[in-house]
Amino acid sequence: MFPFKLQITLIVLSILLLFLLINMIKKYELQLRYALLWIFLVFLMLIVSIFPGIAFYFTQAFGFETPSNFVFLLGILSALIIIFSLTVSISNLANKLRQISQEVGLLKNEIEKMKKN
Amino acid sequence: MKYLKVLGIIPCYNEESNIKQLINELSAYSDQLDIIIINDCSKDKTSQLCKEENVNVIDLPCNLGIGGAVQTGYLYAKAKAYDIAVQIDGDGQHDPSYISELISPLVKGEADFSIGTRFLKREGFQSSGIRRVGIVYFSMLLRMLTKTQVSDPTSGFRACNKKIINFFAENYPTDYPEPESIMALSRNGYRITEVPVKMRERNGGKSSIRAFKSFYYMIKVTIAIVIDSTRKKQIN
Repeated sequence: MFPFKLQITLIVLSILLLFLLINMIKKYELQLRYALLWIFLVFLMLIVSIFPGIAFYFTQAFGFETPSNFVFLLGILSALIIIFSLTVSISNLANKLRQISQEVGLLKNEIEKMKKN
Repeated sequence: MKYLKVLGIIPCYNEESNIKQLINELSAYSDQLDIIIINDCSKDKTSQLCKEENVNVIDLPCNLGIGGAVQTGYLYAKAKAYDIAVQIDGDGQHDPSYISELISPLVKGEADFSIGTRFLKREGFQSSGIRRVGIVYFSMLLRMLTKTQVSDPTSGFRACNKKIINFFAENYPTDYPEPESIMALSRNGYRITEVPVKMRERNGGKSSIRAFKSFYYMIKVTIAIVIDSTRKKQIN
C-alpha cells in the first residue's frame, strides 16, 4: 500500500538531515536551543517513514481524502510553526540589540566626559 | 606556598531578598577571595542593593540567562588573571564557609575542577523529590559517557583553576549549563573531583527550573550532553 522505493528515499533523507543537524551543532554552528524544533521534526519524519501506517491511521481518523493531503498539511503547519518561532526569536534579539546599543552609547558618553576631566 | 588569587562569581537574577545576606556572609571571607556579582539584568533592586553594600558588580545590559551571566564572570576572571574561580549561586543556597574546602583540591593541584555536592555526606537540604530523580539520571548519564562519578551534576557550587577559567571564558553552554559543562571538561581531559558541602533551602526567589519546564530541561540537556560527548578534544 505504500511504495517501498519512496519509503527508502524518505528514510535516507531523514537520516541525512538528522546527521547534518547534529554535525552543525557539534561544530557550534547551530545552537541546540534553536535546532531542537528541527531535530524533533526530522525525528517525526523518520518515524513516519519507517512506519507509514501512522500517516494512514491519522488520515482516516481526521477524515482527509488522501494521506498526501494530510502529510502536506502537516508539513505546511510545521513550517509555519518554525517560522513563527523564528519571528519570536528575532523580536527578542532586536530588543536585546537595542538595549546593548543604548548601553554602549551611554558608556561612550561617560568615557568622553571622563577623558575631558 | 604561592599566594593564589581567588574570585567568587555570583550570578544573580532578581535576588533582592537574598543578596544582602549573602554579601554579608561573604564579607567574612574577604581575605580569602574577591567577589564579583553578575547582575543578569534583574528587574528588581538587586543592582541597587549591591551598590549600597559597595561590592563589585557587573550589570549586564540585557538578560543572558545563567550560562551567559556565569561566562561573564569567567571572562572577568581571565582578564584580571585570577588563579581560581568559585561559582556561588545568588540565592543563598550555598554556604560560604565551605569555600575553603571546595578550593583545597585545586590549591593542592590534585584536581582542575571541584564540585560541591550535597549527596556525599547527606547533610543539609537534599533537594525535592522530582529534582533528585533528574540529578540521579544526569549522574548516571555522565558516568556512562565519561566514566567519572559525579553525584550532583546540577550543583552550581563549583570551583576551577586557571586552565578551566580560560576554557570557560571561551566555551560555556547557554541554557542549562551545569551538567553539560561537566561533560565538556571531562572530554577535554580535566580532572574533576567532588567535595561534600551542606546546602540550604533557598530562602526567597524562584529556582530557574520550574516544574512544567523540567521535561524540556531533561530532553535538552540529554541531547546536549550526548552531542558534546561526540565532539573532539578542543585543547592541548
